[in-house]
Amino acid sequence: MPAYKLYYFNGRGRAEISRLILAAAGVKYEDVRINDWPRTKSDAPIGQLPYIEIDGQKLPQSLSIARFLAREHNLAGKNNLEAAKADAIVDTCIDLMTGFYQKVFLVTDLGAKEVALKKFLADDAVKGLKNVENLAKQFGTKGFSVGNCLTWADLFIHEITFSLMNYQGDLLDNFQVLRQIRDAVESNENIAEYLKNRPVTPF
Amino acid sequence: MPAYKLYYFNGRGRAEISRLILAAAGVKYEDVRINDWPRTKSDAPIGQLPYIEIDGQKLPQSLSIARFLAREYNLAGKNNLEAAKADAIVDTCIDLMTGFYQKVFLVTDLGAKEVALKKFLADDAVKGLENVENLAKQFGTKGFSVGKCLTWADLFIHEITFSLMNYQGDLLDNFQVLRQIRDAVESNENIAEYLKNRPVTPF
Repeated sequence: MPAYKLYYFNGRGRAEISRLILAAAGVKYEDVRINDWPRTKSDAPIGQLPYIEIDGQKLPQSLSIARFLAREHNLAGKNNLEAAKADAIVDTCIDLMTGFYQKVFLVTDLGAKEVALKKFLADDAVKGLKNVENLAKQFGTKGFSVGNCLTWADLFIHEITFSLMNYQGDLLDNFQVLRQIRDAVESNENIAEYLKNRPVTPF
Repeated sequence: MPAYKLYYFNGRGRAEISRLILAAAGVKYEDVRINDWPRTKSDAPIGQLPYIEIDGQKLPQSLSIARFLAREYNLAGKNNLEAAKADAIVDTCIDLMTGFYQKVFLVTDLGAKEVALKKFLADDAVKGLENVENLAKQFGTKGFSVGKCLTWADLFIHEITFSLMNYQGDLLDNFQVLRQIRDAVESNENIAEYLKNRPVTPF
C-alpha cells in the first residue's frame, strides 16, 4: 500500500470526494488540514489545494486525485466504459456546483446572495440534478449510478447533494433515483462510519 | 473495433481533443458536425455537445469522452499514476481556458473584449501556462508532458496553445518545454497528416 498524504483546508470542499473514496476503500492515509495557507503555497505543485503525495510524488487537481484513488481501489466501475460513465456523471455534478459557485458563492451582497440562492435552487439546481439523474438512469441500476456496484460517482452525488440539501432539505423530493443512490452510499458500512465521525465544517 | 460516432458543432471547441486522440491512434470514426442545433438537442444525453456513440451507447462530457478514448488507445500513460498525471495536466489546461471563456469570450462589448484579451494574455495566460509547464517538467521528459511517450495531455497542450497563439503568436517564446511538446505532437505522423487536412473553423 503506498503512503498517501492528502493536503487541503479544514473543510469538505474539493478534497471530500477523495476522503470518501479512501473511507469506502478502507485505506489509511494522512489527512493533512492546512491552517496557515498561503504560507505553504509553494509546497503545492501548482500553488493550489488539494494535492496528494503518493509515496512522496505530488499530484494536484482534485478530480485527478479522486479518479486515481477510485481506480486504484475498484471504485471506478469494472471496465473502461463504466469508468467513463462514472467520469461523465462526476463532470455533470461539477457543472452544477460550478454554477452554484459562480451564481451564488461569488455574490458578495448578502441580500443579492439570498435572491441568487433561491433562484439557483429553483432553476439551475433542478436542471442540473435532472441531468445527473438521467445519466444515472441510463448508466446504472439497483441504487447505483453506474452498473450495479458502488463507484465514486455515487460518492460524488452524495457529496454534492449533502451540500445543496443544507440549503434546501426537500431538494430531492422529486428525485427518487438520486435518493436511492444516497441511501446506497449511506448503507455502505465504511461510509456510514466515516460520515458519523467526520468533522463538521462550514464548507 | 467499436463503431464510434462523435457529435459536435462544426468547429474544434470541446470535441477537438477527441478528434486528435482518434487521429493519433489511427482509429476510424464518424465525425458528425451538427448544423441544425438545437433541433437535435433531445438526442444528446444531457442536451449538450459533444457526445459520442460507442456501439450505440451514448456518452456525454467532452473530457470523459476524450479520457475514455485515450485509455482505449494507449494515450493515457503506462499505469494509473501516469494516467492521473495526464489528467492533472489536462485539468490545469482546462482551468486556463475556463478563465479565457469567462474573462474574454463572455465579454460582449468589443472594446472591453479587446482590453480583456490583452490583460488575459499578459497575466492569466502566462500564470496558467507556467502551471502547465511546471507539471510537464515534474511529470515528463524528452518533449513529453507525462513519462516519455505521447499522451493525450500532449495533444491537449497542443490544442489550447493553438487556440491562444491565434491571438498572440509569440505566446510561448518563454516556454521552451511547451514548445518542445508542440514539436513532439507535430512530428507524430498521424497527427501531422490530421493537422494538414482538418477543416479551418472560427473556433
